[in-house]
Amino acid sequence: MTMSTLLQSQALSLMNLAKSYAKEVFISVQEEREDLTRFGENEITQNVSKHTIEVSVTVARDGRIGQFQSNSLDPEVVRPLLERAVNIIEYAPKDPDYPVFPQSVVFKDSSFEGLGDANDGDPALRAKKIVSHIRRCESQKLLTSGILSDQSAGTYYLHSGGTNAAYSSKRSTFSTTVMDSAGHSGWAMATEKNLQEINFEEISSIAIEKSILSRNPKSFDCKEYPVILEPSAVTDLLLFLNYVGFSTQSYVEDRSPLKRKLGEKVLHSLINIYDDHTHPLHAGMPFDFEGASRERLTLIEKGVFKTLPLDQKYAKKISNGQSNGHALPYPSSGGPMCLNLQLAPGKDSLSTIVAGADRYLLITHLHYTNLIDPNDITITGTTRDGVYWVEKGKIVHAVKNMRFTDSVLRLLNVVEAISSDQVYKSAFFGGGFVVPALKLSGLRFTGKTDY
Amino acid sequence: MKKQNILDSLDLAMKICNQAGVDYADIRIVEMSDEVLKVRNGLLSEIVNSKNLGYGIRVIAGGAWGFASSANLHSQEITNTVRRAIQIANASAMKINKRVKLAAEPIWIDRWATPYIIDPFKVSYDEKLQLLYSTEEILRNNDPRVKSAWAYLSIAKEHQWFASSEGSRIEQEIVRSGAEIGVSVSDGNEIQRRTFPASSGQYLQGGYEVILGLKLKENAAKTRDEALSLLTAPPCPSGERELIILGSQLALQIHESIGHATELDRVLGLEANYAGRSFVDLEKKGRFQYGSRYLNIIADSTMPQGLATYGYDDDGVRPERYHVIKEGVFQTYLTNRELAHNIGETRSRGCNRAEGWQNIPIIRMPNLSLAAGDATLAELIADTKDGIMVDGIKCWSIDQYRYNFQFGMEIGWHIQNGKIVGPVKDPCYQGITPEFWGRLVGVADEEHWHLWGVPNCGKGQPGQRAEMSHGTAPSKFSKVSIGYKQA
Ligand SMILES: [Zn+2]
Repeated sequence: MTMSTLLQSQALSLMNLAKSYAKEVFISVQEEREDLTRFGENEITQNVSKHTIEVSVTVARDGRIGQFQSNSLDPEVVRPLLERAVNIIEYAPKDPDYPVFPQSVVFKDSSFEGLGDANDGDPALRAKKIVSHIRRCESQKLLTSGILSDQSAGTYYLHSGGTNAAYSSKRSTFSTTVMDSAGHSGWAMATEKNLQEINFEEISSIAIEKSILSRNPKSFDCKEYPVILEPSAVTDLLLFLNYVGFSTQSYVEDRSPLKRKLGEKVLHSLINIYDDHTHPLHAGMPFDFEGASRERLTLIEKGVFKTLPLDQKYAKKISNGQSNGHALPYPSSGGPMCLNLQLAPGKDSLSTIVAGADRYLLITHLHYTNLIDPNDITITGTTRDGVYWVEKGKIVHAVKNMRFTDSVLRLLNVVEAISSDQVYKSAFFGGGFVVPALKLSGLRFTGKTDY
Repeated sequence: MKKQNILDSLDLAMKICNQAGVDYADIRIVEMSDEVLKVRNGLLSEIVNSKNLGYGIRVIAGGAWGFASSANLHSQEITNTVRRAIQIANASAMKINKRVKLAAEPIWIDRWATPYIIDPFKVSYDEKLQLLYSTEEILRNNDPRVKSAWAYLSIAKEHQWFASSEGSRIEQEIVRSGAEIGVSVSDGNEIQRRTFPASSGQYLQGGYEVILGLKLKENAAKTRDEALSLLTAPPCPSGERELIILGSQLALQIHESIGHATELDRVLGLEANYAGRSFVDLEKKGRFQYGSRYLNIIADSTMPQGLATYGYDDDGVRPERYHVIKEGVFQTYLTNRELAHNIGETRSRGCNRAEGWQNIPIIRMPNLSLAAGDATLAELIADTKDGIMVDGIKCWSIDQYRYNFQFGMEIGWHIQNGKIVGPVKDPCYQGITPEFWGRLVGVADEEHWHLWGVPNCGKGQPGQRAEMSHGTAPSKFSKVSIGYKQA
């Protein structure tokens, strides 16, 4: 029996219990399993297995709410929490925009298989994959570190009006850094639905090759350089564009850098950005945390700002009242949000783009990118694990890492080419994005390092 | 969960581990209670009212680590979890270059708890929410330029039980409380922000008295007015200038450029794939000039009220107070039982901590503070010819060796000829860690010294969150590179 079947029946009993306290009840249950093996300095250093459950219950009365969260569905544990949640209602202000939530919608999701009692990979299988990668590095006198993880997650949503939705997904990630004794490093990663689909040899080879290419780096002056950002370096741009630029709440409150610009051209005409949970690299939830169907959104089309994510409440504020299925759990402090962004691919492969470039920096990925000015989405971070100078289509030497500080809105206006290859990757501060490589006419560097 | 059941579970887990013949084992049972109440633009926008209980079992078998966790305390599941941890350790043992060796630690049978005056979970919702509503109303003030106003409080109680195969049995109860208020303002063109007391909240160990002591309501009008003043303030001048850094920002500067840089696991390369390594390589121990003679950094998980104050870390090690940097010279690293021997130390510094029960402990910062100096803030300002004073964390970014950093703050004040001329907007500065601390020319005295909490330090894969505090007094630096736009 899958754990999820048990959880679903416990959630249904919890619904009945909660309904004896409040008329309207929402329940979401999130279940996650993660098995992860970590290696560093050519040995396995950490190896963990976790299984967590979080149930979140919202009780509502006349536009006022109370909530509780627990990792147990045991009535003995949840009853006192539920009573506290009901007590909060007494002191909660009435939300004048309290929406009507979808009723009696049942999502029959084909991808829901339940999480089972364990993930595919037993620890010995993960160790075997890692050992062969470490041996390759050792044979070339290189040091490696990284992770191999197996993750599965399930979401179960219930509303007292009869809405019932369930969804689960799996992901396996291999990520590795390789360096020589002087610290010249390379990095590569892959995320697939399961461990069997990961091409370990390929990832291992890319990281090793990048590390070797990183030797004898030259120091460059801080100024603007034309760049090719590999897909992994593009995720950080999308994270902040999403968080700041596609924030519907900021837009409605007139504090968005894209305020009053719906329908206007805001990015380069090569840029198309979608939110698409059906994209094969995303495989996101088909519903949102209010039980609405998650629609595919065209946020940017040929550089024109077309739409924003909506939940029930914000749909009334800026649209025809129809949610497009991007709610986070009500009352959602930050408003609706896109969870499955995709920067649409271009026509040439990354290698073709590199082959056609002259005097460009090729950048593997970025480190600790953070928002320094929301007014034009200026971000700052450093390059990492492979910066190379390309002349006449060939990498001629490595370059020491640098700090960049630049506006995402400006960068997505100086696009020269977009690659046809896309990857799924999270940014340094999280999120998951499907992104291609970008060739930009300039990225502003503002600081140097010694390595 | 009944106390007897907890104690029985500890004993059962250790019994199974001993029977299995592992080299070492420990179990941590953790019960977390959390509450967050947030009011934004007149509405209750976030409610956390949560309980979470489970356990993690850590074993060394065949010289390698294994870790498994579960929320189910039935004896059969404890047995399964131990088996899984051993199975994982056996897999880890397929590629180790040396057997895990733990630094010796006395056996402790003890109980430790945060002292507090008012149990924050017993304060009524009415009282807590009235404080938030009335404060948020002052922040908003029906001013159309105030686009978003918020006030939240956050309390947590962590009850943990630890047992090791060596015989230690430790019970700890940690209580912490904190809050933040803030506004986001706009005149239709740009947006600015100001928060109080610190931009991701100010927290201390203690009860509801901590929140009352922050005086949120009393500081709401000033916070709002400072934000509004930024809408007409000139941009921060750039170039190399003198810089005075106030409380919470200086705490983050210490956190990022000293705290993470001196974590021994980073130094040894074990975090290389994500958080990164450190420029403070092993050669530097005991001799590296990290900063000027004013730089005295003290690690102390025994001090009152720190977020990383505890009787014992998650290795069961009782922490002590020690210098990480003394008069500018780097002394030693933050360690755990596993790694201490790498730097020739025979005892752990007590820095191994995990988030909750579901994660394995890793090296985390203790409370790490800058010792107070002997100046007053007024003297530091009076002594400044052409400089900027900054406050309020807005942006932080530092490279993977903790070497090149850039920070942005909410507000700056231009100082000319020893006097504050007025506020400036969007201040930011950048530097190279040892050069920057080398330019520390003055630290304010104890009167100005405060302990600032960092509630959200991320590290590790899978990612874990940890809390710690940094004590700081306003400090002055000569010649810091300010601004990025003209760079
Ligand atoms: Zn941190």
